[in-house]
Formats: sequence, structure tokens, C-alpha cells
Amino acid sequence: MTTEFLADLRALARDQATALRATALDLDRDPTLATTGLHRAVPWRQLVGLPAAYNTDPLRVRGRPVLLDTCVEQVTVLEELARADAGAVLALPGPSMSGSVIADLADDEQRERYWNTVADGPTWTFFGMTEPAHGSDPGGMTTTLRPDGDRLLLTGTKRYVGNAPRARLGVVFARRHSGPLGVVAVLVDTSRPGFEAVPLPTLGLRGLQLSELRMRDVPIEAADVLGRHRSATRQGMWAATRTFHRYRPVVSCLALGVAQAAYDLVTAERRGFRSHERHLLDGWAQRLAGTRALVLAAARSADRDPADGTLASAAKIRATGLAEEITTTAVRMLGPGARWEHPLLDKLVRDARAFEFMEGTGNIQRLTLAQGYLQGRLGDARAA
Amino acid sequence: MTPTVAPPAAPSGPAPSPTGRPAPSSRPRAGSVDPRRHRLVAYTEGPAAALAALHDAVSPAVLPAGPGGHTLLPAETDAACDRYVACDGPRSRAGLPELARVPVGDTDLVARRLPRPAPPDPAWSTGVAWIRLGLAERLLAAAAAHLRGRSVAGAPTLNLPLVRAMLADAAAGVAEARALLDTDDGDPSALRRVHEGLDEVGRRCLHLFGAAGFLADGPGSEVRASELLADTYPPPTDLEAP
Ligand SMILES: Cc1cc2nc3c(=O)[nH]c(=O)nc-3n(C[C@H](O)[C@H](O)[C@H](O)COP(=O)(O)OP(=O)(O)OC[C@H]3O[C@@H](n4cnc5c(N)ncnc54)[C@H](O)[C@@H]3O)c2cc1C
Repeated sequence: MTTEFLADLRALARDQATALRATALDLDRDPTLATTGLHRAVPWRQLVGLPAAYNTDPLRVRGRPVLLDTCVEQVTVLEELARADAGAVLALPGPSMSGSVIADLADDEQRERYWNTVADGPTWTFFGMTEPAHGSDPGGMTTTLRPDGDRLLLTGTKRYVGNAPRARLGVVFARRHSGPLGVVAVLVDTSRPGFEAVPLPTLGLRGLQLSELRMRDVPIEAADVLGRHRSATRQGMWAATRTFHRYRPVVSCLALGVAQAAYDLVTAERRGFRSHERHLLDGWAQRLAGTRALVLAAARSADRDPADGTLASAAKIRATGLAEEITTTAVRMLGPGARWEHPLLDKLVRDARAFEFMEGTGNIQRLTLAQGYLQGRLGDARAA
Repeated sequence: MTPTVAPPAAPSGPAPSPTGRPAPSSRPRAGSVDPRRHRLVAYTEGPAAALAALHDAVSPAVLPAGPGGHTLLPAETDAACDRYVACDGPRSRAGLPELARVPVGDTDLVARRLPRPAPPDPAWSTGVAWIRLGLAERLLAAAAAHLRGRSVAGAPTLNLPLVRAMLADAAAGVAEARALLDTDDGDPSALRRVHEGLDEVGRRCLHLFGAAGFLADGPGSEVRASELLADTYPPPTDLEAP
């Protein structure tokens, strides 16, 4: 994909973003707006990466259809949308992270069922991995899938799961046996008895509507277990890891969008910067450009090989740090009471704090990056 | 704060100076309370109680404005004020609209904008800085307790080297802020550094908490209150300093 092509795609996304900017504060106040109006404000079908068969009227750039089913296209478009409202991007209906698990694990019947439901009309999905006592160490999960006659029962609690209260379908990770290979991914229909998704009020990214999944003996058919035709090593954790590798560049582009939005706000709201402030702004502009290049490189790497998350971790560390730093310092640059006078800035500060945790904390990214570097996966001069 | 977190260990005394001798700022200003007391109230009881106590000591019945003309007070304290001080003298506070409500603990902080208020009282700004120090210490203690109770592959999360490193960074930030406040000689740039340093401590602690710190009813709500206090009541800039 050429630089010119991506620049045109970005320009197109910038136009779409206008609608999201207008609703940003409303959605922050009332996350339920996501299901009542947001998907009408933007052409969600074109933006969420539906497969070609379900996306009959795709975005077009220079006459060419763009499905937004690659990481490179996603980070280009979603950064611009996040620059208007990252909460709205995450509140869009569609496959989000669960789609990646489907791509890796579903058989033909499951794939068809999933996409038929998701493309049917605005439909939300979720990805349920984290538990109250197990976030950074998903291997410790205690949600179980156990046999009961000729069906299975799903029991456990998941926490901090985005979009679940409004979802019809989602992927839940559960333990079938002990050990790292004992985790399976299950396609869960939220209307099943024993399933409940309770909203958790958050400080930022409120549009995403985090929630707690409470599952008590939820009946699961054998046909709902993903990866059943796959080998023992290609099961839940394998697919989850690949999903993280694909989705970390996307989370990074959202953080970058928030950072850019805070930069835009400072430069729009103030005139006559003092010399040390100019210096600071120049530094930010350079770091925004550097992070953007890194996010794009990470997206290319994820498209090429989703088994390798080294660059994705690097991008996430950089983008998250930049978003936190620019939003926080922007408050000081806009003078006393800036968070009262600029509610949008207050929202950016709150939203920026989410990215540290999504798809793994900064520490987890550091461990992944260090390991990847030591294994020669950064494609640096050592390999040249 | 988080009800599941064990109460933090007693703080290391009401801010003794690093030398053990009373620091210059420990001389109570005439007619006022030693500002270091507010640190302890913030540490043990949280932001609303500490603000109420500071208000009692420094600004009873009067809405205290920051340099941008905003106030931020616990709802009960706000309701008990009947006036504020404008440039040309005291004014009734009747009819001032509410800007925002910030839930924290079992109450709300209320923000308002005052028309043409007089410059803020330095005793208020200093008190706010001590409150923020106490809140940062409270937060760090709660983060350590939280991670002592979580585990990764059977070992306490608190014992992971990368986690210890973050904890150490936060502890250094607390120590720096306290050292600056202990030697406070009214230099506004020192007070600005206190606030910046405490903002960093807050962010580091939020990282330590994991997603639990991102919930509106978790420890993050006190971080938010503390940051909003800094934004509402920052120390004067060089240009405005007396
Ligand atoms: C906005 C948002 C959206 C989210 N969406 C989802 C979702 O859709 N689905 C889902 O399943 N989850 C989701 N999460 C949860 C997220 O994945 C977890 O918050 C994250 O994995 C961290 O887990 P934790 O919060 O339990 O923190 P913990 O794991 O308890 O971490 C606490 C602290 O310890 C550190 N730490 C932990 N282990 C290590 C280690 N081995 N080495 C070094 N340091 C370590 C962490 O860096 C952190 O500082 C979301 C979270 C947020 C905030």
C-alpha cells in the first residue's frame, strides 16, 4: 500500500470523523447513546472490517475498494476517528477483537453464523479474557467449561470487558483442562440463560461501556466451541495471543489519536506561546510523527505475521506514554481551571489513561519487546 | 477508597522534617492551623474530609477561588458558604450555577465559577498542596496493599521487579514533594514542582492498580479529585507571584 494511497484513505477518515467530534461529550455522559444514535452518525459497515461478502458497499479510495480488514488500513483510519472521539471508535458495532479469534479458530459453520449475526444490523461483540483476580496472567484464569451430559456448561466471572452489555455475541475464554493448552475459546450468545453483563462505570472511554460478565452454568453446545477442528496447540491461548498482536497496533493508533487531539486543542486554544512552550510543542510534533511511523510499522508487521508481536509492543509503549504525557501537560498549558473551561480536554485526559491496560499493561509490553529483541525479531542491523 | 484494601500502615508521623528539626514552614502562621495537619487528614480520611478541615481553618463560610476563578469543595462545605470575596469586596454567593459534580468516596465535590474573584489566599494554596501530598501517600499505600493481595503464577504481584521499580518511582516522587513542602519558603516555583511531581505519582499509582484504578468508584476517583484540585488551585505563576 503506497504512502499516497494511505494519505488519501486518511483524508477520507478525517471527513468521517467530523460526526464523531460533535457527539463526543454526549457519549461520554451517556454511553447508551452508542446503541441509539452513534451507528447512524457514521457508516459503521464501512469502518469495522466486515469481510468482502458482507460489505457490499465498501469505502473506496482512488476507485479501489478498501475493506478495512488489514491492520495497516485500520490504524490509518481509526487514528483519525479517535482524534475526534476514541470512545466512539470503540463503541462502534462490529467484530472488534472477537473477529480475529473467529478468523483463526472458527470452522465454516461458525464463521457463517458469526458473520451473519454481526452483519445483520448494528451488532456488538466482545472479547472476554480478563478475570477479577487474573489480568496480566490470563493463564491463571478460573472460568470453566465442563461437560454436563451431551452439552457443556460455562461458569465464571470476567471483568473489564468492553461492549458486553450491548452485545449479542462474544468470545469467552475458559478452562477445559489444567495447563496452558487447556484454555478454549467459546462463542457465546448473550441471550443464553445464566449469562449476565453488568456495566462498570469508568473514568474514561466511557462509550466503550466496560462490564463484568457473570456466567453461571451457561449452556454451551459443542458447536459453540471454537477451534474444535484444530490441533491441541492451536486453541484458545494461541488465538488470543495472535489477537493481541493484531489489536495492539490498533490500540496504539487510538492512543495516538488522543495524543494528537490534545496537541490540536492546545494549539487551537492558545496564541502567543513563550519560547520554552514552542520548544515543547516542537518536541511533541516530532514525537507524534515518530510514533505514527512506529504504529504503521507495527501494523505492517501484524499483517505479515500475527505470530510476532514485537513491534506491536514497541508501538503501544510509545503511543500510550505520549497520550498520557501530552494530555496531562496540556492541562497546565491552558492555565488555571483548564479542565473546567475545556471539557473536551478533561475527557482526553481521562480517555488517555485507558490505553495503558488494554491488550496488556506497559510492563507486559516491555517484557514482550525485550524478549522479541533478544530473539532477533526487530529486523535490525544484526539480521541485515 | 477501595473498601477491600486493608487500611494502610500508619503514616510516618505528621511530616517531620528530614533533619528531625522543625522545618521553617512548621511555624504556624498567625491565627492559622499548621498546614501539615491537612496531610494527615487527607491520608487517613480522604479528599472530602481534608478539604472540609482546610476550609474550616482557612476560609470558613467563604467560597475559596483559585487563580482561574473556580472553586472545588465538598458538597456540604460548598452549601455552608454564604459568600465569596470579589475584587471589590465580599459578595453573596447566591445564584452561582454549578459547573460540575465530581463523585469521590461517599460525597461529591462541587465546582463553580466565580465572577471576578479576588486573588487566592496563599494559606489555601499551601493547604491544598499538603492535602495532595497526603492523598498521594494514601494512594501509594493502597496500591501496595492491592498488589500484595494479587498474584502472578503463585507469587505476589508486589514482589515482581518491574512492579517494585514503579513503586520506587512513586515513592521517590512522594519523598521529593514532602522535602519541598518541608522547606517551603513561599517560593511558587517550588509549589508548582510539588504539584507536577504529585501528578506523576498519581499516574504511576494508577498504572500499579491495573484496570481497578480506571473504575469510577475505585481509587482512580481520588486521583481525579487530587488532579482537579491542582488544576483549580495552582500556585501563582512567576508573573502573578507577590
Ligand atoms: C478500557 C479497558 C478495556 C478493556 N477491555 C478488555 C476486554 O475487552 N476484554 C478483556 O478481557 N479485558 C479487557 N480489559 C482488561 C485488561 O486486559 C487488563 O486490565 C490488563 O490485562 C491488566 O490486568 P489487571 O487490570 O488485572 O492488572 P494486574 O494484572 O493486576 O496488574 C497490576 C500491575 O502489576 C503489573 N504486573 C502484573 N503482572 C506483571 C508481570 N508479570 N511483570 C511485570 N509487571 C506486572 C502491571 O503492569 C500493573 O502495573 C480492559 C481494560 C481497560 C482499562
